[in-house]
Amino acid sequence: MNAQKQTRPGHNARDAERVDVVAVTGLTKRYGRRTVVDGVDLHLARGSITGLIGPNGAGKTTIMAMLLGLVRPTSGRGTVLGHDLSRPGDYLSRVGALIEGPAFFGNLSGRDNLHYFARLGGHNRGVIPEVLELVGLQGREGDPYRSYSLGMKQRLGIGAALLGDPELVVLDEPTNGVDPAGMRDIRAMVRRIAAQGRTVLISSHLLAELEHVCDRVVVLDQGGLRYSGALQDLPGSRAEVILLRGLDTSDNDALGRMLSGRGLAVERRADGFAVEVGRGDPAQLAGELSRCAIEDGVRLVELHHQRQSLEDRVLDLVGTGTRS
Amino acid sequence: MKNTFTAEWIRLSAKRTWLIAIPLTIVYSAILTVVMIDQAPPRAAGGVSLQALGQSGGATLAVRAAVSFTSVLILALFVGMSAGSFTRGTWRASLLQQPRRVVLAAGTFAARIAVGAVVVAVLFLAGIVTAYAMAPGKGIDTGAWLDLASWRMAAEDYLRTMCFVVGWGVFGTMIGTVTRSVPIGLGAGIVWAGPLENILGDRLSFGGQWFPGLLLRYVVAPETAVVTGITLVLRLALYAVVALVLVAVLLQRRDVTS
Repeated sequence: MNAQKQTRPGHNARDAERVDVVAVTGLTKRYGRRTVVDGVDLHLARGSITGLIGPNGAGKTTIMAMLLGLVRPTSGRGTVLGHDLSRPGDYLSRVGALIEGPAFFGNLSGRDNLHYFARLGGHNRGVIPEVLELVGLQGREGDPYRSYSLGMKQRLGIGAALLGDPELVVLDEPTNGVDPAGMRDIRAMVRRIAAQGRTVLISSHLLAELEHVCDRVVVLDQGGLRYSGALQDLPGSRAEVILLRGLDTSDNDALGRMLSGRGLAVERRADGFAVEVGRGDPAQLAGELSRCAIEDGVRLVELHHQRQSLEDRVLDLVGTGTRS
Repeated sequence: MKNTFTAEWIRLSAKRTWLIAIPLTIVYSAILTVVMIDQAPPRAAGGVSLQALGQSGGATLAVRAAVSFTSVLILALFVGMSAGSFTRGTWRASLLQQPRRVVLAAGTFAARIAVGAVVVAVLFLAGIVTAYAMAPGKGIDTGAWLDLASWRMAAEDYLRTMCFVVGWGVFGTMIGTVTRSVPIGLGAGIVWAGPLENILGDRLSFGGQWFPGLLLRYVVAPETAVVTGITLVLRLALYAVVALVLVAVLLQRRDVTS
């Protein structure tokens, strides 16, 4: 596997099992000759929000289903919340999940559906009003589930995942079919869930969505791991730059002279300059450039930090991502 | 299992369910009882006759015999409920709350049977009321309908009917679990329980001896039985064990995917 894995210094399997909510290695799932997940290592630190990224068919849902005991791994070992992966019954009471879309009884109301699943799991039903408020369904909780919009169904699915006060929340494509306002709501909801100290594993093919909520990402392609680590460390093919533009031609000329005299990697562009950030702190560099421009009397109309989007960086890793 | 049973019981016993199920059961029972009594011959070696109706146990005789016509309905309900839980994804969602698959399936099935027990009780009550209403017009003596033997026979008829419901319930759940598709499950179940069992069973002595649907019919219509007593019990138990083991193995071993 040509994964560009990032591991923490001193990180080994034993350490991972002690500190990580999820610590699995070599997770593999085959259906006949078809390998859907191929030797994936996954470590989720407590309290982290980890995005599971990859094109359709990358194996995201299958990995989640294996963690949730719905799909039996062909091989691989590890722990979830300190319990062996092969015994999901031991840890699932501490895990909440929405996987492969919300599934409820259409004739029951949202509230009655939550009561049903709370009873099933032996959870405290007193939390249901709080859960309904958290997912923004108060006022509509008495309506039949079949009358809900897709966004409301997704939110009820997230609500059901939170019933047992879980330590680990697994959300599979929670923004699927949701409008932009609904996506924003779900993003905020995920942040609130994580702020309560829960560990969140979330998958989506809408990478811009994940960029807003995740602090770590796991990139998959064709069942294999391509990257695992901090979001900001995800490698990109294009350099991170500070873009600058002067008010007019004379300002741009002065800006060019100013930048070239400072030994920076500068690229002249049609409407200004791009200064490579390199290994430094982009905010510090931008501040420094702003100060220099003021000292040199250069009038700037643009100064901003530009980095490759998560989408661009993921596509660099996995190609066009059109497989399904 | 208690949590699973309670959750499913409360889901199924919603007010709306009873508002639909109870009137339908009453009408269904009344129609079947009217037809059975109206068509009853004066005398017969077994089964429903005006003579048998006038004896102890006559009040529940017609409705118990009529239950044998409900096999396809019970089968369809259980196929629909079990296969539907796979197609709707509620089986997957339920497993996230109760990961012990056999416990989940057993508790759910038990709750469905419990709801069935209430419906059968209503079926019997409606049948008895209808039989009382029809008796004078058909010259049936109801004097023995409330004696001790009648209560004992009513209890036996109820248990026989519940055995019939559980049997078809197990059969329907097995088909639903194997096919995981409502249309395919219903198609396979109805074709087997309807034409195949009845046509082949009537023509093949093997069929009459061994077909599960016919064996279940013998429970509620013993006058038609080719197999009786302990042999009938053992054969039905054998089918039940095979079906339950098959369901348990499939549920345990299969991956749950959409």
